[in-house]
Amino acid sequence: MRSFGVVVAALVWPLLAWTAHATAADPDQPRNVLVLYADSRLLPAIVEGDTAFRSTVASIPGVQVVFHTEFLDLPPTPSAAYKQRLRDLLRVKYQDVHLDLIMAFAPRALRIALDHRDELGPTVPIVFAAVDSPEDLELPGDVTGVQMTISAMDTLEAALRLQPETRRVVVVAGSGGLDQRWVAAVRVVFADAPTHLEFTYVTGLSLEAVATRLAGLPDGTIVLLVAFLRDTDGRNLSTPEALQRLAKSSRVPIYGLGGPLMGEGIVGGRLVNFESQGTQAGRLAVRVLRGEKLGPADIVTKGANTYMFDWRQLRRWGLQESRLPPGSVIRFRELSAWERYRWSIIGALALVLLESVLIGALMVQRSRRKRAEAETSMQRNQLAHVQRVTAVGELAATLAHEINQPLGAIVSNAEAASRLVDPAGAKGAELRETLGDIIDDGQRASEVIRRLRVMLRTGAPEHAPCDVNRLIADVLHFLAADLARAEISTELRLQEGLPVVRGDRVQLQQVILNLVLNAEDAMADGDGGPRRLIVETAARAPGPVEICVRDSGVGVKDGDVERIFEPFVTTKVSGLGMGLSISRSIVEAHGGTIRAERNPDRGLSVHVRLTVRAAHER
Amino acid sequence: MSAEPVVYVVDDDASFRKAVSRLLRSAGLEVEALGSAREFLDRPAEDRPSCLVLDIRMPGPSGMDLQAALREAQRDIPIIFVTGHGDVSTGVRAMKGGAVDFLEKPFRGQDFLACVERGIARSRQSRLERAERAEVERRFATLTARERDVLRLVVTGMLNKQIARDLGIAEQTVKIHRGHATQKMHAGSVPELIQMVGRLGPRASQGS
Repeated sequence: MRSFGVVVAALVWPLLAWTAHATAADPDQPRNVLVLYADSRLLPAIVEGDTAFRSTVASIPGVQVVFHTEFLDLPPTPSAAYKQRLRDLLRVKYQDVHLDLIMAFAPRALRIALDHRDELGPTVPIVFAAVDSPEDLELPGDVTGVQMTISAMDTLEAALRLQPETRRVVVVAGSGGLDQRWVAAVRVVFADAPTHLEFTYVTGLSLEAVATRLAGLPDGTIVLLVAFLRDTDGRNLSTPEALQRLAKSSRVPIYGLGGPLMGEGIVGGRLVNFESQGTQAGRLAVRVLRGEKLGPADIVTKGANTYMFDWRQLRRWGLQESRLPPGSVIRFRELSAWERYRWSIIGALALVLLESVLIGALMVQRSRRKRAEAETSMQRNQLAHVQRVTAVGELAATLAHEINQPLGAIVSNAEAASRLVDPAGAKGAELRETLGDIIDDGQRASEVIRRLRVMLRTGAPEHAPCDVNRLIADVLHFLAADLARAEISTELRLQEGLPVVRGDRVQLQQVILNLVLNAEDAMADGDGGPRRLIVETAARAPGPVEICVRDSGVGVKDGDVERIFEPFVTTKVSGLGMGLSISRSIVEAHGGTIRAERNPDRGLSVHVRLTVRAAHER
Repeated sequence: MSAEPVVYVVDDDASFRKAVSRLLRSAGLEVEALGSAREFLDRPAEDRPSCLVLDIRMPGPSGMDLQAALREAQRDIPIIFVTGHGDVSTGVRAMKGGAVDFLEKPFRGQDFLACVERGIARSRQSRLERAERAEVERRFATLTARERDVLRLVVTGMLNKQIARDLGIAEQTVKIHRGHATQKMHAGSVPELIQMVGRLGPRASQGS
């Protein structure tokens, strides 16, 4: 018999062990977790704890967890019938469900879980959270959880740091079971509080009555709201709800103990962190689901409370942030515009700055361009003016020369004739008189021309030091677009350190302009040949400077080389024949010489030799 | 010395050339008219008093160019510039270059002929001076070395005694050399001798 039993046990045990093992470890099998709440679903503490617990448990890799949740919302003292119905409900509901774990939140839920193990499965391990004194409950070996402690003394000390002038402490609590239990705990703790403090316990009043009391509190008082889940009117509340009402009327700052109070009107305190309760319970649940056997010895007792303060309340009561206990979390900080939008502001400022810089740069560029345009246009006007004036002057000079030439011949002929006539001969006297009139009229005509010339004379050249290279650069800059359009490549061979020439800047520029324009015209006629303009300067004896303008254009016939400086002589179809004539006048007025030379290959070179005027005239 | 003067007219304007030539001939002058500066330069120089009537602005070498070329070639011929339009600076340059005058066309016949006369007179004068200098040089060349030494000291105003001491010879010998030199130079007096030696220029008076 005995051996039979051993054999059966030997046969059955591995089977059972295998089954248990399979149940615990089979990853494909969904795990059923019942989460049990005795209170209303919407209590803030429950919402925080539930969310943290679920997210912690649900994060086990490779294990699918099915949550069953009961928000029992139990009355304070359920009747026997109520209890029986609840027992029936749980049995019916869970008899076909294989639960792997029960999580009970807060003492009453843990009580229910322990009382209904038969209905929910006697061997289902239990994990609890937010239970303040689990040691009172005689827990079985498969129950573990997170203990909740309230940090009343730490909260009081933090309040005293913020408000050292405090003399009175008003402790407020509702009339519910938990309310009373917590107040009792607080009383015990505050027995060790500094002796200069006067403690008043406000409990067993309606919420409105408490609010009225708080409205009349003198300075030097603080309020500690312990818990307020029920008032004497029998209303079920949540502590945050009660706080909202009390904070409205209280004349002094209110401190609290529960995390969900944060943001509802308390200054702060070392608050129970229900999120942390949920998370730690979740971690225990994960271990249990993985097959670990945890018991009362594994109850987590520490580290779930946090110093937390409401920035708005600190401001409201004029309390200094620097006095907060180290490691305090400050919530609801309203950032200043700068703190809140720092990067936006910096970004916007940078953008504005960048834009300003851009605008500035554009304006500078614009004004520079305008100035350059104005300068160019002034130069153009000046050149055009001088060109006109010199053209008229040159015309007058040419006219004078061309007319004086025959006048000279006429007068000389008359003079000769007058000498040849025999005054004693017949009509000799009259003939002489006639010739005398011719001579006089010739002189008169010449005088008219001379006066015209004086009137139209080009102003005497100004004498200023001129940098010839600079003049050339200016003119070519001025003509750059023109030359580019005519597809002429320009080469400057300017000798550095040329002696300074004294002369009229504008007139000399005009000479260079005429020569370059002639060169351009000579090449524009276009027989497909190269278009190369070379402007060269060199210091040469005997004059200080020689300018050479060389083109690769059509050039001129050999005989024309000497004639092209004559007025009205042109090799161009549309030329007036004044440019070179004017240039010669200007150069000669500067005491220089100008000559043209046919290039060996093609085109023409015009050499202008400027001498130091002073050497000739002084 | 007695050669007849000639007036050259250089102008590119044919009718003016002709008219001026006529005017000059009416004054009894011999005229040679040329159309360009180059033509003038190309013809051989004549050994007779002459004067050049020169237009400033001509194709090819200008009147000023010709003036410079003649100065370069040391051809001494007085120039009268005539121009259709004269500007001050050209006139100044022409006169500085040694021109007799600078006339604007048309000009008064009398003024022009007076200029030409002045030019010819200057030509004559310089020919004369050249001839005299040549004669003095010729005479000086006939002197012996010792006579030249003595002569050089004589014209500085030294007495025979001083010259003798200076040259280390007898005073009597100085007297003889001095007599020969004066005679060979055809000088009537010491001042005349000084004038002659002055014409010789520094080369002769310093000794070779």
